[in-house]
Formats: sequence, structure tokens, C-alpha cells
Amino acid sequence: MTQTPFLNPLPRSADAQPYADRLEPADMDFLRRTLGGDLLVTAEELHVYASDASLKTGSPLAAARPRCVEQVQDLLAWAQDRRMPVYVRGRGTNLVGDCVPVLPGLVVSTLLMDRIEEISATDFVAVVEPGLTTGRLQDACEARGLYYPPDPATVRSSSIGGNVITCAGGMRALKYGVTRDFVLGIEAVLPGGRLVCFGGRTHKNVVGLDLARLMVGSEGTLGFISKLWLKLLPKPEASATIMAGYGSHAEALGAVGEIFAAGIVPCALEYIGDGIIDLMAGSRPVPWPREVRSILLIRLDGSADTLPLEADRLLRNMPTALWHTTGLNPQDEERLWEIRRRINPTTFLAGPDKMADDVTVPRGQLVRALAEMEKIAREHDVTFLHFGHVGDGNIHANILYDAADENMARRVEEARLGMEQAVLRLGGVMSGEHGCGICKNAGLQIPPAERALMHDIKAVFDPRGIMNPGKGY
Amino acid sequence: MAALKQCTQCGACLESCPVFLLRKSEEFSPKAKQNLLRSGLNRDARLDWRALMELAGQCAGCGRCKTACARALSVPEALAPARARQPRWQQHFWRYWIERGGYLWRVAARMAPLAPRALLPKKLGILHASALAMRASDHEVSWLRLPPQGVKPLAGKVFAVFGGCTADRLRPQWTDKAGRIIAALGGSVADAPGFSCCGGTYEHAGMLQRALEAAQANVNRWRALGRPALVVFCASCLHSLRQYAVMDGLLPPEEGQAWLESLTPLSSLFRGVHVERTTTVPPVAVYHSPCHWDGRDEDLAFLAPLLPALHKGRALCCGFGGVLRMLHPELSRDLAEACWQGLAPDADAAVPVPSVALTGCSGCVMQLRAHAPQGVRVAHWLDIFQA
Repeated sequence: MTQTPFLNPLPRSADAQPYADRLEPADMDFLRRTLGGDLLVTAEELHVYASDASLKTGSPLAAARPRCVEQVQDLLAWAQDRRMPVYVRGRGTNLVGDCVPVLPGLVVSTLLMDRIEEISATDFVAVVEPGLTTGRLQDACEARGLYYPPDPATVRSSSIGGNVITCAGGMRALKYGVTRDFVLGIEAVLPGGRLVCFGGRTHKNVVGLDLARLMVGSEGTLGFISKLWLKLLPKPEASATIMAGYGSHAEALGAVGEIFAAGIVPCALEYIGDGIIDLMAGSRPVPWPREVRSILLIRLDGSADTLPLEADRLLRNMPTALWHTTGLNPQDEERLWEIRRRINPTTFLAGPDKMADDVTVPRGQLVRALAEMEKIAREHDVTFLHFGHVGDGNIHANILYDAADENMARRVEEARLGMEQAVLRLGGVMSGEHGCGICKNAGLQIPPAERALMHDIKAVFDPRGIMNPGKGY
Repeated sequence: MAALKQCTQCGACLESCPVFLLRKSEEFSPKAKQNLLRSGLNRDARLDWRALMELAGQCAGCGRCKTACARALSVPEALAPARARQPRWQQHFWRYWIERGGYLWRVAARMAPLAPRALLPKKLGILHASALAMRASDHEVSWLRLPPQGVKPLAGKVFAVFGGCTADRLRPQWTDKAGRIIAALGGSVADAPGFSCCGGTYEHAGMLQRALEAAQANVNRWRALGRPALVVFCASCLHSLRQYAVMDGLLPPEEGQAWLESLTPLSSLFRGVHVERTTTVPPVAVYHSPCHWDGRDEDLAFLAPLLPALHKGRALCCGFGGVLRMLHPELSRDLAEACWQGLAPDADAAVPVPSVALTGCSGCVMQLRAHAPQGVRVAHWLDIFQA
């Protein structure tokens, strides 16, 4: 694990008081009184709260596990008064260090606030607390014939609060949209302890500024989300999956254009690059023939009666595929998606450590972006493995390496920066899903005036800059 | 010990871990324990080794994290060598418990009803419940049987039955019944096989040398019997026996493969065999899938078609993990109670409350019995098989 310098500035503050960097006896009295046994203070207990899936580390002074919004209000009033940095986390699956206490401070875990308050089949709304696992929300909805579509790869391990605060995407984003598109309302506690509520349970609302969706993707820098109103859809009756193999990325990505041109919007449209194809073929039997160098994995959903016809129409619009297979029932579909889920463990066959990036480009620039990124990988002599949500132009760019090799680690960092710059030149963005956290310098992408405006907005919510300082932007 | 592979903290293990799901706190998650142990072994000066082991040791030993992990990291496997290097580890107690279990376990089972629960200290109270569970089963029923003139697919083959500690000491009828089933299917069973403990508890306790010795004794016995197919009816024993193939210095690779191929879940002998249901099959029973099947439960595959009303529930680990019960009996009990909640049909499901719970691990039988709700019987599936 490594400490990282600040890539994004610490918040400006009108007051001169420095951040608190220790817990005084009076602080401990307050925390114990407020939280009872739901307070963690030993080095052993706090070890996991020092980091997240970025593997960067920080310095938690204590971890609070509130069970109700009143406790959170008390905590944020105290933290504001003390100018104590606050780091909210669900399950710590963030890849860019959004959960890392970069300055000494209080970690606040949402895991004891994980209730489903309501799932309404008439309003098509779920009302939930932030610590709920997104997969459990999906299960509860689907048991009632309803559907919460956003499905990041960590859907079974991440919390809905974390998904909202990072605007998680996932494979169904192509047809249904990302987390932001499903947030109708947010109840939040702001620094100082003020409880606010933006939006609510209507599917439309244009009264005032849309501050609920402003909080979505804010990387924990504005406040503590204590309750969510989420939009639901009727659960699709059926789905079908097609896996198709092509001789090159250019051919596969060209086929994507043809699919859209035919007026077909799949539920998911994933691609798997040649490096991963080779690793998979080398480790266990695979269904595709040797000449396949790029794979598309496509899911359609809709009515059981028409899906086979839709699948046929899709295949007619994929004439350049060298090979394909179709799953028209859950078991056959599962076999194909299992291959997609194997990507993550398979990448580790190429090296013990992974730099995972999630750049996104305009759809039309995908072929060029991949070519440039491959060139940069060659120039820096690093193992570049890519796959992604091709329908969204979102590339999961992984570089596998051995972090113990300092020379290699340096080349990986240089290659990553080079790839980000190439993506920006093509009109893309540095992150489509993970955020910037402490791992990406948002200043490379956001011009100074716009970035200053973001900082001003943060100061309105968080005048003393205690919420996740130094993160995101 | 070798350095632990770094956990990427992806969090895929969280939903698999019964302790994390019970506690809802990240420091109890497998990823937390992996990194804590790694930092401890790297001599992170901020960490106190005893406090670290106290926290990391709150592990059910179920191994579900390994199945969930892309890098196949296992907290129990990381804990074992960490425990082994603890100077004051309770090895003596465990050695005594396991080695003299034949005496202790029987006495505990017979004495337990005599001790007034109200007078027992808290921790002993939980162990008292376990001791009660060790009393001989009085709930054998006949739901399944082989037809009298059935096929003999095992004709000409030789088998040995590995009963394990619980069966050897408390439920010898299971081993006998397994032998009768093999015979009914045409196979011959080696007499008095004389195997020792599978070593799983030693391994979990960090007594690696003794685990190796137990494995060596069992392998030697298997060799002496002419390397027969080794029939096992306890998922945890089977899991431990499978580990022999990767134990350093135990088996040469070719023999390791032969060892693995010899290991035969009892339920797998029924493949392609017609099994009859009797008229006494209840409308519904619950099934607890032992963690140590590692997601591939052969017993359930055997039972599910025969008992269509078998309800699997959402339960995870029963909290049996041998060391856990002794070191953290409250956690073990809480896991058992959570397991029972998971086994109960959903409140809104149209499933009647079951009166019988089945499983296929000797330890799970004992643990579930110790914490069973009033009126619910717990049985190994062998107890419902007439042979």
C-alpha cells in the first residue's frame, strides 16, 4: 500500500483554524456518548478503515458506526465545530481512494444504516438507507416484479450509498442509464448537522435546482447521504445474450456501429480485448475458435415472445462475425456471462498487481483510442489488457505488473498518464465510473474557472472543508 | 512462513463471509483480516500481535472467502500459520480435547443433562449446549431406501469408509450404515479401517505439524489397505482429506492424484441408482449446505430430486468451525442462530415451518442440534436413509 500526494487541492476555508489531527479526551467523551459501542478506536480495528480498493492508505483517528440519522447529525455538528475531517464509507470498494482518510480524521461507516424502508410497486420507488448492498436492493425489487437496473461489477459487494456518491455505471447503462438516472431524491446531513432533503418520490420534478443529482457523483465531498428515493422500472420479462467473435478490434467496433445504425439498443454491449482472450484461452477451454481476436457480448431484454426475433435481427446485422453463440434461456445466458465475470481473476495471470483505469471516449473514437493506448503500452513495455462497456465508449484499461519492481511501477504510472492524455485529446474523459479521488488529477481535464466554481459550490455545502478533503476535483 | 499474497480489497469476499454479515462491520471482513495479518507479519509497529490475532481469529473457518476471491485468498489458510507462530497459543488444550475426545466427548454428552444450566458461567453455558448435542441421536427415520432387488453398480470394487472423529466417537451408526449401503450396491468394504482424525481441526488451530502427522497416518493406512476408494459422508472431513494432495512433503504428485481420485462422497455412489421414497417423507424439510462443499454440494444434488420439498434457505455457515467454538463461543452461537434464521422459510413464502433439518457434515449436525429451535430435529441425511 502506498501513500499518495494530493492531486486535487485541499478545500479553501474562510477560517484560519487548522484541521483537527487528534482526538482529545473531550472528543472521546463525545464520541462514546453519541455512539456507545459503535465506535472503533484501536489500531487493529481501524486498519481496514485506513484504505480502500485503491490500496492507498490514510490515518483514521476513529471509526463511527451510526445507526440513525440523529447520530449522524450530532457527529457532523461536532466535526464542523472541531474542523475534523470526515470520511464516509460503505464497504470500501472504491478504486480511486475516495474512502481513504488522507488527513487524520473520523471515518463514518454506513453499514448499520442498511434498511429498505419501502419498495412501492405503485409509485415505482424504493426508499432505502445508504449502507444497503445494491445487489440486495435488486433482489428485493425483482422479488416484487420490479427492477433497479444500475449494475456495477461490484453490485454484490458495494453499497447503494457508495454507488450514488460515485454515480456507478455498469453493464446495463447503455440502455437504462447510470445511477444518477435513478436517483429521485436524497436526504442528507450537511456539515454542522443540518438535515436537508432534495427531490422525492415523483419521477419528474423541475422545481428549483436539482441538488439531489448534484450530490450524485460528488465523491463524498458535500455531505452524508442518509436516505435515498430511487426510481424503479417493471422487471423485463426475459433476456437473451449473444456472444460474437471478430478478427480484430476494428471489425468488432465496426459491428457496434452497424448494430446502432439498425436501430437496436441492447441492454448491455461489452467487448473483450485480445490480451484477455489469449489469457482465457491459455487457462481453460473457451467456446470461440482460435482466429477470434475481439469479442462482443450483447444482451437484449424485453418480452419472451419477441426476444428470439430480436436476437435474429441483431445477428442479421452482424455479418462480419467469425463466430457466434446465442443464449436464449437463463442457463445458457449464465454460461456466457460467466466468461465476462472471469475477466477480473483472469487478468491476474499476467501479473500480481493491477492498475485499473476507466477512461471513456466518444463512441466514434473508440478504435482510435484503443490504437493509441496500445501504442503507449508498447512504448512503455507494459502489459495492457482491455475490455469494457463498448456501447458507452467506456474502456476498462488494465495494466498488469509487479509493484515490487520499481522500474516497472514507474513505467506503468507513465503509461497511465500517457493514456489519460491521449483520451483527453480525443475528447474523452479520465473516468467514466470510478471518479478521480486521490488517484487522478482532475485539473488535467477541468479548466481552472470551472474547477473554481466547483470549489465554490463545495464551500456552500461544506464551509470548513471537512467532507472528504482533497478528493475528486 | 511465506508472505501472504496482497488482497486487492475489491470486497468480493464480503457477501460470502458469515461473520461480516452478522457483525456488519468491515474489520470483521475477510479483506480486513487478510490485510491485518499481512501487516502483522510485516511487523507493522502500530499493531499489537495479540490484539490482531484476537480480531482476525474471529473467523468461522468456512473458507467461503476463498471461493469468492478472484485471487483465491483464504482467511482460514492465512490464520493457520499465523496461529502456529503464536507462542502461547492454546495448543495444549486442543491437543487434549481432540486426542482424548473419545473420553471427553462421551462424558460431556452424558454429563450435560445433569448440569443445571443456570449455574454454568456464560461461556460454559454455550459449550453445555454443544455437549447436549453430542448425545446419541434418537431421531432415526426412514424416508429413503434402496429397492430390495436393486442394481449392483459397485460389484467387484473395494471401499473403505472414513467416518471421522464425530462418527467414530459419537455416531458409529453412520459408519455402519455407510458400509451397509456400499454392500447393498454390490461393493466390498474393508474391515476396521482404523483411520485417525482428518486433521482439519489441527490445521485450523494452527497445529500444522500435528495436522501433517494425522494426514500421514491416514495416507499410510490407505496405502496399507491397498489404496481403496475412500468413502466419506462428512463434508468437512472430505474437505480436509482433499487438502492432503497439496500438503508439503506428504504425497508425491502422482500419488496425490490417486489420493484425490480415491476420495468418494458417499452420496456420489447413488449416481444412476434408483432410490425409493417411503411413505413417511414429511411435507417439508430444510437443508443446511455445509460450507466445506466449497459451493459444489454433492449431497444436495443427491437429495434434492428425491425430496422435492427440501427447502435450502439462505443460511450461510452454522458457526461450527472447531476453534471458533472454543475461542469465541458467543460468536459461534450467534452464527448458529443466524443460520437457523436463514434456514427458516421467508415469512411471506407459502412454505410450512419445517420440523426437520438435514445436512451432510458431522460438525454441522452437532452445531445445528445445539442451537435448534424448539421442536426442530436435526439429522445427517444418513439418519433418514434406511439401510
